[in-house]
Amino acid sequence: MTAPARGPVVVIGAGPAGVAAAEAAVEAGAPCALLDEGPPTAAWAGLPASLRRRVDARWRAAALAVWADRRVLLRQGRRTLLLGARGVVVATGANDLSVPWPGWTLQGVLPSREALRAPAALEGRGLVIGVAPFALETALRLRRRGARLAAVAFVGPRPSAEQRLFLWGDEADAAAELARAGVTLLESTAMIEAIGERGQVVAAAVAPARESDWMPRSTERRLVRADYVVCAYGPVPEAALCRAAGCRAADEPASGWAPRVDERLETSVPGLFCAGAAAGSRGLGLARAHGREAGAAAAGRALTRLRRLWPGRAACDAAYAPRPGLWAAATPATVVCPCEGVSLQALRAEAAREPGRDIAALKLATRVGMGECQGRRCGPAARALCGAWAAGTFGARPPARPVELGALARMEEA
Amino acid sequence: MSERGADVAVAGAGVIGSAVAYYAALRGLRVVVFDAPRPGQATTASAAGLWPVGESLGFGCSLIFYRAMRGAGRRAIAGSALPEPFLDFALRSNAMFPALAEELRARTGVDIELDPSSLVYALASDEDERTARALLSRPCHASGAVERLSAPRLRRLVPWLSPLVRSGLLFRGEDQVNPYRFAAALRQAARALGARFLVDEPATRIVLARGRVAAVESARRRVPCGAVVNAAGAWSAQVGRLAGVTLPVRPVRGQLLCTEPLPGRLGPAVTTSDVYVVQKAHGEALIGSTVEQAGFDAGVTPEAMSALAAAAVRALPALARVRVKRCWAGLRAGTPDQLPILGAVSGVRGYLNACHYRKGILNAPLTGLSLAQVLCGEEPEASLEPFALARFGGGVRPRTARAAR
Repeated sequence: MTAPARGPVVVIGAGPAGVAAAEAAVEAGAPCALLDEGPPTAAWAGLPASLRRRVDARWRAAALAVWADRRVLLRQGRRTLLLGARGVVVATGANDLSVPWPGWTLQGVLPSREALRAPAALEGRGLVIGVAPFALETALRLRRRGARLAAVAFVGPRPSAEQRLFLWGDEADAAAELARAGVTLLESTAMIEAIGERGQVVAAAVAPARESDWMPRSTERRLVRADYVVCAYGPVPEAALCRAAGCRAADEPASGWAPRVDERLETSVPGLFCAGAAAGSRGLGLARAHGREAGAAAAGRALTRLRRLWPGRAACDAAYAPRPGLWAAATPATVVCPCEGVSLQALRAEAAREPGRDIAALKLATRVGMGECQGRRCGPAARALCGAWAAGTFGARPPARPVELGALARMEEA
Repeated sequence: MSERGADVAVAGAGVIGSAVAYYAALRGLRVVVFDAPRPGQATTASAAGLWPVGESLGFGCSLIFYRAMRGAGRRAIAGSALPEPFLDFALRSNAMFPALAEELRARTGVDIELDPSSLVYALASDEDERTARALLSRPCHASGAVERLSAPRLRRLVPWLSPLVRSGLLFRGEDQVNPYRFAAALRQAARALGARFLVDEPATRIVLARGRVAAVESARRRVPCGAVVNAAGAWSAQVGRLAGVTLPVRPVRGQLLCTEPLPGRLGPAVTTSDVYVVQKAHGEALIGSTVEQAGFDAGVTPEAMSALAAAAVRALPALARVRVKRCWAGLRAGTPDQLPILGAVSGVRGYLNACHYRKGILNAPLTGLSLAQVLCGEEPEASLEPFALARFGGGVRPRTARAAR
C-alpha cells in the first residue's frame, strides 16, 4: 500500500462505476469527492440519501489531468483546482466507436450517446445502425423515449437473455419489443453510405454482411429512408486521463486504449485506479462491482477479492468486438478525422511516403487526431484503417478537455 | 548479423541526424541512420521559431533560460548572450532555409511551412529595460537587425499586447518552420538518395579498432562503417559513451502549451523575459517553455502549465479566453555553456559529435552540410573549432586512446 492517509478519495465520473466507487469509499471511512462533467446523474439519484450526504459531489466539474503523485487538476465553474488525493478512481466511461463510411459526417448522423443525451426525441424517422447489442439497446431506449424508428440494422448475433442481463442489467428482449412496435429489424446488415441533401442525411444505403467478419456485399445494397442515423458500434474506453498519467496499457484492448489493471482495479501507477467502461470492461453489473472494489481499495481497504467473473464474459466480448468488415465501407475520399478534415487517401499517401512509422508519426504529418476532440472520434478508426502500415495508437496529453489559458493561469491548490 | 557496410552511421533521426544523413547522401556517401523513438525527442517537441539574432543576442529562449537558472540559484553565463561564433553560425544556417525549403519541396513534395516572420521582445519593467540595454550594448555585427519600437508602434504591430508593455525590440527576419515536417522532409530526401533509416533500432554498440570507428551495432545487426555521427540529442552522452567519449550533456526539459487556433493573426512571435508565444501555420499558438532538469522524465507538471499560461496572459491578455488543447515536454541536449558540441574528438577517429542544445532546428542545415564535408575530407563550410568537445578540457578520456597504444 502506497496511499498515504491524506486528502479525499477522488472519483472521476458519476456513472454506475463511479457512484459505486464513491459509495464504497465512504463506507470504508474515507472522505470522497465525486466529480462529473455533467449535471447529477441517474446513478447518483439511485444512491440512498444517507450515503449521498457523505460524498462531496461536484457537478459540471471536468477533470483535466491526473498525476502519478495523485494530484487531480479540475475545472469547476470559474475555478481551476489542484486537488491532492489519497487515491484516484477514474470512472470516465466510454465514448462511441466511430466507423467512417461515406456520409458519416452529414448533419443528422450521430453517435448513440449523443442521441440518448438529446433532451427531446429526434425529429422524423430514424435508422439505428451498429453492432447487435449496442444497436438494439440504443434503439429500445430511443423508442421508449418516443422516437420514431424506421429500422435497426446490425451485425453480430442477437444477444441472449444472459448477455442482455450482463450488458444492460436488464433482460428485456429489445428485439421483440422493437418488432412489436413496428420497427424493422435488419439482421446481418451493415452500412454502405449515408446519402445527403444539402448536407443533411435523407437516406442510408445498407447491405447484407457476412457473419464471420461483417464484410458487406455492397452489390446487394438497399436504400432506407431516414431523417437521422444513430450509430451504435460499441464502446471505446475514455482513458485519456490514465494514459496521460503514464499508466501501462492493457494487453489486448478490443478497441482503442485501456489501462492495465490488477484485481483491485489499480493501474500501473500506484494509487490510481480505473473501473468500468473506462478500463475496457463491458456491462452494467461489472461496472458496479469494479467500481465498489476500486473505491474501497482507493480508500485503503481492500474489499473482498472480486467474485469470479461471469464465465460467459469473454465470449460476449469476442462476439461483439469490431471485425474487419466494419471498416470496409470507407472509400479513399472518406474523411477519417472530421476535426482536421483528413481523408483515408491522405493517410495512405503519407504512410506510403515513409514506411515503417507508427501512427504518432502519421498524426504529426497529416494532423489526423490533432483537432478539438484530440483523436477520441477518429482514433480507433485511424488505427483500424492504418494498422497495416502504421502501428500503435494515438498518445494522450493533458489536458483531457480543452481549458482556457486564463483558467490555467488561475490554478489554485485545494 | 553482419550486413553490407556504410560510409557513415548516424545515431539519431531527429532534425540534426536527418540533416547529416541528407547532406552526406547528397555527396554520395552510403548512410545508415539508427533511431529509437522516445518520449521527449526535442525535434518533434520543439516550437521551431528560428530566431538566429534574438537568440544569439540573448533574448527569447536564452533570456528565459537565464532567468530560470538565476531563479534556481544557479550560476548562469553573464547576460546569457551567446558568443560571436555562435551568432555567425546561426545566421549562416538561417540564410540556408529559403533555398533548402525549395530544394526539399522539389525532392519530396513536403512543404516545411517556412514562415517569414519576426520576433518582438516586449519590455514591461525597469528590469526588462536594463536587461535589454545590457544585451544590446555588447558589440555585435547583428545589432543592426534590431530595432527599438515605441509603445504605439509596438501596439500597431501586435495589437493583442498588454497595455503594461512599455516598448519593445523588433528582430527582423526571425522565421519559423514546422519542425516535424522539416525533419520528415530531410529524412525522405535522404532516403530517396539511398540513405537507410532503421526505425526503432537504437545503436547499442560502437566497435572501435586501432582507435578508429569500425562498425556500429544494434540489437538486430552490425553495420561495418568508417564513421559515426552522434546526433542523439538529449541521449548524446549515452551514445558517446559507446565510443568511449564523455560528453557533458544532460537532458533539459522544456514544457510547452499548444492552444486551439487563435481567432486571428498574432503577428510576429512575442517573447517576454519569461515566456514566448508563436503562432504556427494552422493558427494554433505554442507557448513555451520551461527550463528544468528532470532527468529523462518528459512529463508535464501543473506548476509549469499554470506558470506558462499566466505569463502568456500577462503579455497578451486576449489569450485568456483561448483554450489549451494539449501540453507536452521535450528534452533538450543541455551543455554546460549552452553551446553546441560539434565535430571530431581526438583519440577516436571517425567519430563526430552533432549535438545542439536549444537551436537545433535553426542550425540543422549548416551542421548537416559542415559535417558531411568533414566526412568527405573537405574543409567544412563553417568552422567547427569553437564548438569542439575539447573546450571542456580534461573531462574527455577516450578509452580507445589507451586501447590503441
